[in-house]
Amino acid sequence: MSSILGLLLSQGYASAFGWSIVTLLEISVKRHMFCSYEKFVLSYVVGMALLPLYMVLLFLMGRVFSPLNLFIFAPVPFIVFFIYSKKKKAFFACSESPGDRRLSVWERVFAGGIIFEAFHSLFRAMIKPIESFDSVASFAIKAKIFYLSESIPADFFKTLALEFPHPSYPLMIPLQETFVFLSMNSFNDLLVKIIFPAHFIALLGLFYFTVKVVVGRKGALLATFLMASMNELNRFSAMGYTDIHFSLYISMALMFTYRYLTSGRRERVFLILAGLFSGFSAFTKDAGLFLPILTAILFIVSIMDNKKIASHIRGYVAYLGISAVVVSPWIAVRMISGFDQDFVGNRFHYGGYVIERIIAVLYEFQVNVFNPKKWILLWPVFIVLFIINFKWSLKTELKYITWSIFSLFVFYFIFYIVVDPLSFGIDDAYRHSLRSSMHRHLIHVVPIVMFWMALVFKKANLRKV
Amino acid sequence: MFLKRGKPYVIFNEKAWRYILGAWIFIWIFVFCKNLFVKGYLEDYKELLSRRNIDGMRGFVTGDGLYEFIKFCEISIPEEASFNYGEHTGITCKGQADRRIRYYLYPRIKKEKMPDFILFFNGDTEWVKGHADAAYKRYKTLDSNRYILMRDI
Repeated sequence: MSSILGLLLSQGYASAFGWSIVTLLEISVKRHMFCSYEKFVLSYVVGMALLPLYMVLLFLMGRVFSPLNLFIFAPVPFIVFFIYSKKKKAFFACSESPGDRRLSVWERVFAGGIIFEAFHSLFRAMIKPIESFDSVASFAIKAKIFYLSESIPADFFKTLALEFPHPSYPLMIPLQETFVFLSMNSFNDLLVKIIFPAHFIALLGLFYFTVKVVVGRKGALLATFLMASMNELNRFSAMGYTDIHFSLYISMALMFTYRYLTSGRRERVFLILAGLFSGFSAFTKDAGLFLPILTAILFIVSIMDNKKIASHIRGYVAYLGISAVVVSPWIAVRMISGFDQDFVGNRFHYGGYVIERIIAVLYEFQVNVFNPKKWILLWPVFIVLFIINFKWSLKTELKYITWSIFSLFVFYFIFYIVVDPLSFGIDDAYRHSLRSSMHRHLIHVVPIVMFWMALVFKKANLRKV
Repeated sequence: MFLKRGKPYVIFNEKAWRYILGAWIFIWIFVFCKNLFVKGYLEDYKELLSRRNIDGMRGFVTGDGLYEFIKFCEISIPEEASFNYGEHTGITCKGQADRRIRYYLYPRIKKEKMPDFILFFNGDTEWVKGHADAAYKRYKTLDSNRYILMRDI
């Protein structure tokens, strides 16, 4: 019972802390940017991502993860609430309340499907303790080490980390798990798994609210339902891997960048959130370090469109600065710890056999995308829509999402051709590496692809499902 | 035929979209049911729900025999000690069992050279007699196939 209370405390505290950050952003622009449900989900995600970064700062300052240190921000939400309530009378005012209109039959079906998949994910996660290979070997063991020593041990990166696979993996997931263990004051690797379906639900929630702004409630419910129904996403939401977290961070970083570039007033809250999520993604997987390059492409595309070079450069520098500040504690730890094994920069080796590799990558790609057990009909529908709309995909505001998808695919494609963690050339180890990672990389792209499809439907003025 | 042009994007027309949505929902339900009834998820869920506590669930995912042995090792081996195992002692290094043993037994650390303890789990008894018994003596026994050897100082 005390473990459950500790778990609730950890999740509530993270949400309240995140709420403070989001509310301060709203106060800075003196406007409501998010409706209450969206703000709640966003607060949880931001809080759960900032606390591990704060724990890295504690390590850099030589402090332990004591309750006092971890819960030092507890008064902050009260202070922010006080300031906010002074400034705003209608605290939960929202431009469009979700209960404005009654749901139609189809909307109820879609909403029912989303709720079913949310509970399905929760059930799958909470019925088994942490068990999958990487979730045990790369994340949970580190969380156990940090939990037992109530800190990141001083010699962790030089000795202990090397005992386990992928010693230099970013610590977002292990530190989130450590935070929950410490809040529960027990090593309960069953209850700690709640963070994975919670982030899956947050992904669905934030995706829904972002799409709703663009295509309305019905289209947003449909797109969210289609995404939630994919077995591969649901499976990974219960396994204890980083992929749902990374998918959430990278897609929100890109969607907030899109909202910033397409909003007439250049809403700086969206830019700040894009920078935050970009930093979170770099602290979750090394691939996130390349997100600023991808975002630069979107800014260049925008410059080519409306020529405001100075304001774009200012915007991008601000984005880059926020992203760098967010991820800097982790970069500092990497530099101080001095270990370079497994670091992404050292895995770029040109191994030759380019043509053979391209064929192998394309083969594995088609095996994946035409697998309805994993993705239902997502990829065939997307490929057809993309081909028939290719010309117009690079025009209007749709071009930002098209470039995002294109850049992500090119990035992963180059990754497979150039990076070779296991061997040079092409052999069974290389093919195994492809088989075991490509479906996870596709998860990262799914929300953006669904967003692209929602935009195309909106552009084509589809009125009925 | 199944396409609709609209300002100037092209999408599936309503009829095609109904087919797609119908097929989508059919595949969704089909995959869910297949996982549940054919791939044995339902049996797993029933078994897991019957376990009632976290050790029972850990036993299910690790294998009851191995998890019982891990719990036995956790009680028997001091926290500051080191341990090792290998193919001959029944546990393949770098496999799933290896990761789980190291995970559950931490802060006890796996050490390749001169570990304090060797874990024997359904391994090759003859190999142990020939190679390990000189330096290691039987320390604690769970049963005839699962026991711990301790370095003979």
